Amino acid sequence: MKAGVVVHRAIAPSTVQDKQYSAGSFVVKSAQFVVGVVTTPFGCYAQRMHDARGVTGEEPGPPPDQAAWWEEFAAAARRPLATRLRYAFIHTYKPVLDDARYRSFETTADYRTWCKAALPDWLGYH
Amino acid sequence: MPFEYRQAQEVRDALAREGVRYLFIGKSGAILLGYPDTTQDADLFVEKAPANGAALVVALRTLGFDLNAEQASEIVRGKDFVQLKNGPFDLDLIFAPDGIESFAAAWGRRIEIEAFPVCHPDDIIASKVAANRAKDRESLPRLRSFRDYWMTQQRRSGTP
Repeated sequence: MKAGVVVHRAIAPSTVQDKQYSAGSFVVKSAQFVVGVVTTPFGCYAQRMHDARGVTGEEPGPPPDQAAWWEEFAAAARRPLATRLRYAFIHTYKPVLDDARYRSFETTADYRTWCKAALPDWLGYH
Repeated sequence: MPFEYRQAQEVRDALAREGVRYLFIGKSGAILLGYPDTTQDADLFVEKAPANGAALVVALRTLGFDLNAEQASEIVRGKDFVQLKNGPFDLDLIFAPDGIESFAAAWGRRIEIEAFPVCHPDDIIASKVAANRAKDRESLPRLRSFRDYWMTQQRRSGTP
Protein backbone atom coordinates (compact mmCIF):
# COMPACT_ATOMS: atom_id res chain seq x y z
CA MET A 1 0.00 0.00 0.00
CA LYS A 2 1.08 3.60 -0.49
CA ALA A 3 1.48 4.10 3.26
CA GLY A 4 3.89 1.17 3.47
CA VAL A 5 1.50 -1.14 5.24
CA VAL A 6 1.58 -4.75 4.07
CA VAL A 7 -1.84 -6.23 3.43
CA HIS A 8 -2.48 -9.96 3.07
CA ARG A 9 -5.49 -11.92 1.85
CA ALA A 10 -6.91 -14.71 3.98
CA ILE A 11 -6.57 -18.08 2.25
CA ALA A 12 -9.29 -19.72 4.33
CA PRO A 13 -12.28 -18.75 6.46
CA SER A 14 -11.15 -17.65 9.90
CA THR A 15 -12.38 -16.49 13.28
CA VAL A 16 -10.84 -13.50 15.07
CA GLN A 17 -12.15 -12.47 18.45
CA ASP A 18 -15.29 -14.56 17.93
CA LYS A 19 -16.09 -12.97 14.59
CA GLN A 20 -16.15 -14.97 11.37
CA TYR A 21 -14.28 -13.83 8.26
CA SER A 22 -14.41 -15.43 4.86
CA ALA A 23 -11.53 -16.50 2.65
CA GLY A 24 -10.28 -13.52 0.71
CA SER A 25 -10.71 -11.05 3.57
CA PHE A 26 -7.92 -8.53 3.91
CA VAL A 27 -5.51 -8.97 6.82
CA VAL A 28 -3.20 -6.31 8.24
CA LYS A 29 -0.76 -7.65 10.80
CA SER A 30 -0.46 -5.43 13.84
CA ALA A 31 3.31 -6.00 14.03
CA GLN A 32 3.62 -3.04 11.73
CA PHE A 33 3.70 0.58 12.61
CA VAL A 34 0.04 0.99 11.76
CA VAL A 35 -2.69 -1.23 13.13
CA GLY A 36 -5.08 -1.53 10.25
CA VAL A 37 -8.73 -0.97 10.11
CA VAL A 38 -9.74 -3.16 7.25
CA THR A 39 -12.79 -2.85 5.07
CA THR A 40 -14.09 -6.02 3.53
CA PRO A 41 -17.24 -6.67 1.54
CA PHE A 42 -18.62 -7.88 4.87
CA GLY A 43 -17.74 -4.93 7.06
CA CYS A 44 -14.92 -3.16 8.81
CA TYR A 45 -12.67 -4.46 11.60
CA ALA A 46 -9.44 -3.66 13.35
CA GLN A 47 -6.77 -6.36 12.98
CA ARG A 48 -5.11 -7.11 16.26
CA MET A 49 -3.84 -10.62 15.69
CA HIS A 50 -0.06 -10.81 15.29
CA ASP A 51 -0.10 -14.52 14.52
CA ALA A 52 -1.93 -14.55 11.21
CA ARG A 53 -0.12 -17.63 9.91
CA GLY A 54 -3.21 -19.78 9.75
CA VAL A 55 -5.07 -17.05 7.94
CA THR A 56 -2.53 -15.87 5.38
CA GLY A 57 -0.33 -18.92 5.03
CA GLU A 58 2.69 -16.90 6.19
CA GLU A 59 4.83 -17.27 9.28
CA PRO A 60 3.98 -14.93 12.16
CA GLY A 61 6.11 -11.96 13.02
CA PRO A 62 6.81 -10.89 16.58
CA PRO A 63 4.13 -9.36 18.75
CA PRO A 64 4.65 -5.58 18.62
CA ASP A 65 6.11 -5.41 22.12
CA GLN A 66 8.68 -8.13 21.31
CA ALA A 67 10.03 -6.81 18.01
CA ALA A 68 13.28 -5.63 19.64
CA TRP A 69 13.82 -9.06 21.20
CA TRP A 70 13.32 -10.77 17.85
CA GLU A 71 15.92 -8.47 16.33
CA GLU A 72 18.34 -9.58 19.08
CA PHE A 73 17.48 -13.24 18.40
CA ALA A 74 18.06 -12.78 14.68
CA ALA A 75 21.39 -11.05 15.34
CA ALA A 76 22.46 -13.89 17.65
CA ALA A 77 21.47 -16.47 15.04
CA ARG A 78 23.90 -14.88 12.60
CA ARG A 79 26.83 -15.48 14.96
CA PRO A 80 28.69 -18.81 14.99
CA LEU A 81 28.05 -21.01 18.01
CA ALA A 82 31.61 -20.45 19.31
CA THR A 83 31.03 -16.69 19.37
CA ARG A 84 27.65 -17.06 21.05
CA LEU A 85 29.19 -19.16 23.80
CA ARG A 86 32.05 -16.72 24.29
CA TYR A 87 29.54 -13.94 24.94
CA ALA A 88 27.22 -16.06 27.05
CA PHE A 89 29.28 -17.70 29.77
CA ILE A 90 30.44 -15.13 32.28
CA HIS A 91 31.60 -16.05 35.73
CA THR A 92 30.25 -13.84 38.48
CA TYR A 93 30.92 -14.78 42.06
CA LYS A 94 27.75 -15.82 43.87
CA PRO A 95 28.10 -15.89 47.66
CA VAL A 96 27.41 -19.21 49.37
CA LEU A 97 26.59 -20.90 46.06
CA ASP A 98 30.18 -20.66 44.87
CA ASP A 99 31.76 -21.37 48.24
CA ALA A 100 31.79 -25.16 48.00
CA ARG A 101 33.51 -27.34 45.43
CA TYR A 102 30.82 -30.00 45.52
CA ARG A 103 27.22 -30.25 46.69
CA SER A 104 24.57 -32.88 46.15
CA PHE A 105 20.93 -33.20 47.07
CA GLU A 106 18.83 -36.34 47.26
CA THR A 107 15.85 -34.64 45.66
CA THR A 108 15.31 -31.50 43.63
CA ALA A 109 12.91 -30.37 46.37
CA ASP A 110 15.79 -30.65 48.88
CA TYR A 111 17.88 -28.44 46.63
CA ARG A 112 15.12 -25.84 46.37
CA THR A 113 14.67 -25.87 50.15
CA TRP A 114 18.41 -25.39 50.64
CA CYS A 115 18.47 -22.49 48.19
CA LYS A 116 15.69 -20.74 50.09
CA ALA A 117 17.36 -21.28 53.43
CA ALA A 118 20.99 -20.64 52.54
CA LEU A 119 21.18 -18.19 49.64
CA PRO A 120 20.68 -14.42 49.79
CA ASP A 121 17.31 -13.33 48.36
CA TRP A 122 18.88 -11.10 45.76
CA LEU A 123 20.46 -14.04 43.94
CA GLY A 124 16.96 -14.89 42.71
CA TYR A 125 16.83 -18.55 43.79
CA HIS A 126 13.76 -18.01 45.98
CA MET B 1 35.90 -20.63 35.52
CA PRO B 2 33.63 -19.66 32.60
CA PHE B 3 32.50 -22.33 30.21
CA GLU B 4 34.07 -21.95 26.77
CA TYR B 5 33.23 -23.36 23.37
CA ARG B 6 36.29 -25.60 23.45
CA GLN B 7 35.16 -26.99 26.82
CA ALA B 8 31.64 -27.50 25.52
CA GLN B 9 33.13 -29.56 22.71
CA GLU B 10 35.21 -31.52 25.21
CA VAL B 11 32.11 -32.26 27.31
CA ARG B 12 30.20 -33.34 24.23
CA ASP B 13 33.03 -35.55 22.98
CA ALA B 14 33.92 -37.09 26.36
CA LEU B 15 30.31 -37.93 27.17
CA ALA B 16 29.76 -39.29 23.67
CA ARG B 17 32.84 -41.53 23.99
CA GLU B 18 31.43 -43.04 27.18
CA GLY B 19 27.92 -43.28 25.74
CA VAL B 20 26.37 -41.02 28.37
CA ARG B 21 22.73 -40.10 27.79
CA TYR B 22 22.22 -36.44 28.71
CA LEU B 23 20.79 -33.18 27.46
CA PHE B 24 21.81 -29.58 27.92
CA ILE B 25 19.03 -27.86 29.83
CA GLY B 26 18.40 -24.49 31.47
CA LYS B 27 19.85 -21.29 30.18
CA SER B 28 22.95 -23.05 28.85
CA GLY B 29 20.68 -25.21 26.70
CA ALA B 30 18.78 -22.17 25.47
CA ILE B 31 22.06 -20.45 24.63
CA LEU B 32 23.12 -23.43 22.52
CA LEU B 33 19.83 -23.05 20.63
CA GLY B 34 20.66 -19.40 19.96
CA TYR B 35 19.17 -17.57 22.93
CA PRO B 36 21.27 -14.47 23.59
CA ASP B 37 21.80 -14.20 27.32
CA THR B 38 24.45 -14.84 29.95
CA THR B 39 24.99 -17.57 32.50
CA GLN B 40 27.91 -18.93 34.44
CA ASP B 41 27.56 -22.68 34.38
CA ALA B 42 26.34 -25.48 32.18
CA ASP B 43 23.37 -27.59 33.24
CA LEU B 44 23.11 -31.20 32.14
CA PHE B 45 19.92 -33.26 32.43
CA VAL B 46 21.30 -36.78 32.86
CA GLU B 47 19.35 -40.01 32.50
CA LYS B 48 19.07 -41.61 35.90
CA ALA B 49 20.45 -45.14 35.46
CA PRO B 50 23.45 -46.66 37.27
CA ALA B 51 25.29 -47.58 34.07
CA ASN B 52 24.74 -44.08 32.71
CA GLY B 53 25.93 -42.54 35.97
CA ALA B 54 29.05 -44.74 35.96
CA ALA B 55 29.83 -43.72 32.39
CA LEU B 56 29.35 -40.08 33.37
CA VAL B 57 31.84 -40.41 36.23
CA VAL B 58 34.46 -41.77 33.83
CA ALA B 59 33.81 -38.89 31.42
CA LEU B 60 33.92 -36.26 34.18
CA ARG B 61 37.25 -37.56 35.48
CA THR B 62 38.61 -37.48 31.94
CA LEU B 63 37.54 -33.84 31.73
CA GLY B 64 39.44 -33.06 34.94
CA PHE B 65 36.77 -33.13 37.61
CA ASP B 66 38.20 -34.19 40.95
CA LEU B 67 35.66 -36.69 42.27
CA ASN B 68 36.29 -38.78 45.36
CA ALA B 69 34.74 -42.21 45.79
CA GLU B 70 31.73 -40.96 47.73
CA GLN B 71 30.98 -38.24 45.19
CA ALA B 72 31.34 -40.71 42.34
CA SER B 73 28.93 -43.09 44.03
CA GLU B 74 26.37 -40.30 44.43
CA ILE B 75 26.53 -39.57 40.72
CA VAL B 76 26.26 -43.26 39.84
CA ARG B 77 23.23 -43.48 42.12
CA GLY B 78 21.76 -40.40 40.47
CA LYS B 79 21.08 -38.01 43.32
CA ASP B 80 18.61 -35.55 41.88
CA PHE B 81 20.90 -32.53 41.90
CA VAL B 82 24.72 -32.44 41.92
CA GLN B 83 26.68 -29.21 41.74
CA LEU B 84 30.29 -29.52 40.56
CA LYS B 85 32.81 -26.76 41.07
CA ASN B 86 35.76 -29.09 41.38
CA GLY B 87 36.77 -29.16 37.75
CA PRO B 88 37.84 -26.92 34.88
CA PHE B 89 34.39 -25.22 34.78
CA ASP B 90 31.16 -25.22 36.79
CA LEU B 91 28.69 -27.94 35.96
CA ASP B 92 25.28 -28.80 37.40
CA LEU B 93 24.05 -32.37 36.99
CA ILE B 94 20.29 -32.61 37.18
CA PHE B 95 18.78 -36.08 37.26
CA ALA B 96 15.20 -34.98 37.95
CA PRO B 97 14.45 -31.46 36.73
CA ASP B 98 11.19 -29.87 37.76
CA GLY B 99 8.47 -29.80 35.12
CA ILE B 100 9.68 -32.63 32.83
CA GLU B 101 7.93 -35.96 33.12
CA SER B 102 10.86 -38.19 32.17
CA PHE B 103 14.25 -38.22 30.53
CA ALA B 104 12.91 -40.44 27.77
CA ALA B 105 10.22 -37.91 26.89
CA ALA B 106 12.70 -35.03 26.82
CA TRP B 107 15.15 -37.15 24.81
CA GLY B 108 12.42 -37.78 22.24
CA ARG B 109 11.96 -34.04 21.80
CA ARG B 110 15.67 -33.15 21.83
CA ILE B 111 17.35 -30.80 19.39
CA GLU B 112 20.89 -31.44 18.11
CA ILE B 113 23.08 -28.38 17.58
CA GLU B 114 26.54 -29.28 16.22
CA ALA B 115 26.03 -32.70 17.88
CA PHE B 116 25.22 -31.09 21.24
CA PRO B 117 22.03 -32.73 22.52
CA VAL B 118 19.77 -29.99 23.84
CA CYS B 119 16.33 -30.01 25.46
CA HIS B 120 13.53 -28.65 23.32
CA PRO B 121 12.74 -25.02 24.21
CA ASP B 122 9.34 -26.12 25.51
CA ASP B 123 11.08 -28.39 28.04
CA ILE B 124 13.50 -25.65 29.09
CA ILE B 125 10.54 -23.35 29.65
CA ALA B 126 8.54 -26.05 31.46
CA SER B 127 11.38 -26.66 33.90
CA LYS B 128 11.69 -22.94 34.64
CA VAL B 129 7.95 -22.55 35.08
CA ALA B 130 7.93 -25.45 37.54
CA ALA B 131 11.00 -24.19 39.42
CA ASN B 132 9.29 -20.79 39.76
CA ARG B 133 12.30 -18.99 41.21
CA ALA B 134 12.50 -15.22 41.02
CA LYS B 135 15.21 -15.43 38.38
CA ASP B 136 13.08 -17.82 36.33
CA ARG B 137 9.99 -15.62 36.55
CA GLU B 138 12.07 -12.70 35.40
CA SER B 139 13.53 -14.53 32.40
CA LEU B 140 10.44 -16.38 31.19
CA PRO B 141 8.78 -13.68 29.04
CA ARG B 142 11.94 -13.26 26.94
CA LEU B 143 12.59 -17.00 26.85
CA ARG B 144 9.02 -17.65 25.65
CA SER B 145 9.49 -15.01 22.99
CA PHE B 146 12.70 -16.76 21.92
CA ARG B 147 10.82 -20.07 21.72
CA ASP B 148 8.25 -18.44 19.39
CA TYR B 149 11.03 -16.93 17.28
CA TRP B 150 12.92 -20.23 17.16
CA MET B 151 9.80 -22.19 16.16
CA THR B 152 9.13 -19.70 13.38
CA GLN B 153 12.67 -20.17 12.08
CA GLN B 154 12.32 -23.94 12.26
CA ARG B 155 9.14 -23.81 10.19
CA ARG B 156 10.72 -21.45 7.67
CA SER B 157 13.66 -23.80 7.24
CA GLY B 158 11.35 -26.78 6.92
CA THR B 159 12.72 -28.45 10.05
CA PRO B 160 10.02 -30.60 11.65
